[in-house]
Amino acid sequence: MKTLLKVEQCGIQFGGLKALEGLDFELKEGELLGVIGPNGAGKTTFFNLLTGVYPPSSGRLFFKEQLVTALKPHQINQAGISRTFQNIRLFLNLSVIDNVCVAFYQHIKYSLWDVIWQRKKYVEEEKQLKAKALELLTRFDLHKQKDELAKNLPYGDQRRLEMVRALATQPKLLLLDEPAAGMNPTEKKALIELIRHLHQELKLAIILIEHDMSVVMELCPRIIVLDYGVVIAEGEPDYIRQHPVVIEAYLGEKKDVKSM
Amino acid sequence: MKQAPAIVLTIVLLILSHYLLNALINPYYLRVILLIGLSITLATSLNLINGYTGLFSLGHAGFMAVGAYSAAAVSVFLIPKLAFLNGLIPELIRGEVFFVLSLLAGACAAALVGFMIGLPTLRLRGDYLAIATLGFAEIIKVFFNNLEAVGKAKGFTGIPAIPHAVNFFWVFFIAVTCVWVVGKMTSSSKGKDFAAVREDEIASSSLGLSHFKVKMKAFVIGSFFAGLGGGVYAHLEGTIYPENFNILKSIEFVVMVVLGGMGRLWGVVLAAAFLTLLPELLRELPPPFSILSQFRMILYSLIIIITMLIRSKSFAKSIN
Repeated sequence: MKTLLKVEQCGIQFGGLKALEGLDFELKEGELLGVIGPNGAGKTTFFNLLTGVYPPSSGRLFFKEQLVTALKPHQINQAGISRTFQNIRLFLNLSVIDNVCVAFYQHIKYSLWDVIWQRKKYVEEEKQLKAKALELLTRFDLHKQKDELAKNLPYGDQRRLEMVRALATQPKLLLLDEPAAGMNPTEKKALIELIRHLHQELKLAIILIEHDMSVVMELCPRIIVLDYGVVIAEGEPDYIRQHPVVIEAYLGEKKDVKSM
Repeated sequence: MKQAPAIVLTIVLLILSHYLLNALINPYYLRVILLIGLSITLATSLNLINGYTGLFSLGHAGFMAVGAYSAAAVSVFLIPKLAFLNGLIPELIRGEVFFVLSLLAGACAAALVGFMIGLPTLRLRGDYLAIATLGFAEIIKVFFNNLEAVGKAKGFTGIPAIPHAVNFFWVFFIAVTCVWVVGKMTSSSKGKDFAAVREDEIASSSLGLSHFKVKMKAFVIGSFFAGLGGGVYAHLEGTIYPENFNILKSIEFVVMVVLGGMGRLWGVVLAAAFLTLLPELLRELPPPFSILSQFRMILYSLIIIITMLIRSKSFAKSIN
């Protein structure tokens, strides 16, 4: 398998605060990687680094063997990295289907000139776009609400819609920032199936940030643990689960009860 | 092209209603109708910038001024020098060809100025953008106020009238075009980028949209139509003054967009018509109220406040 993403000694510094330090890893094509860590460990900063929201203070980023360190967020997306957000960022006053259609933007061939003249090229491509959007929505079981405004959707649906929207840009790498946050166990189960399905069927590389250990442990063959901006462990779920440093980061230091 | 019949039909309808209105309606009412057409063009083009794209521009009258002065300058200074072309163009439509030429020149000048002003200001957000555009509109006004060639504060006089006096046709042809372009654009998937940037800049850039480019597109297209409107206005009036394009004018257009509902195509068209008609309606109230006509500007403001308060969103929605 070829390397898709290469992070080379990346760090982000806000003033005196080192939010991320010495990050160094590779992601293969079609790999599913989990990133966990306690609150404030730098997980979302890590995504913001990959998507160009914060350029790294040090180090280099390669995507498909191209240097992408200095690219702006929209250029990163055009290169093939798409993301969802921890606090959902939908276009709330647009309909569900429009949220998806606008994400096709960079793949749309007609121009606004074709729109103004209502050319055949526009009418036909627009029809195909709607059909494609509907197909994606159906896969995520959102097709019944396609004309609903995004803000009227329940929370779980909004999270799924954000995933559909990210997929519509046709990425090579999908970054999911806490997709299971605020979901109940049934919804979580469905979500796990969905992510697995995306990963296997679309051969999509995914990096998953998640608070919920059960989701990450079940989905990801490889996991990275962050704490205070530094990678403290990396490996398979079983290895991570028993790793003393990880346990300490999550639960605190182990102390002998008798000695207290 | 399957739109050809629709375009021809629109033109025929507009010309017919021009002659019909000229025959039936007295010139004063006709003038009010023309002002409504101009307001629709200006408000709809501002709707693209402020309503759909969520920018807060307070300088729309500035772009209208650029369009008006440039189109007028082309008509007054350049067209007479093009007499050598007369042989090439049939007599009947010669006036129209030159008129369209100056309108397009005005609109392109406005779009160019929009682009140049957009370069620095579109990096600003919200209130900062509002103040910056306000400042630029003032600069434009001051510029024309001091330009000898266009008469300074005394006004730019001697602008030729619209050829064949088909005023109604041109005013509404441009209004229809503006509403058509803005409406069709913003309802296509590609044109949803305006709304996406308004809704969430961070999310839209994560989808590969450069929000600077999208804003610039809205700004340039909006200025273009403001310039077109300005060009027609100049030829309609015959004389234009820098004071015609002051901050109050810009605010008038903003009020139309806000009252009509930001990003609502027909709501803004209706609001533009209503707010242009209102001060005229208040001019001569029927007998028991006629005394109130002295206070018409106060009434006008009061009515705006009241309609803003009671404007039900569902009404605005139902007409869209």
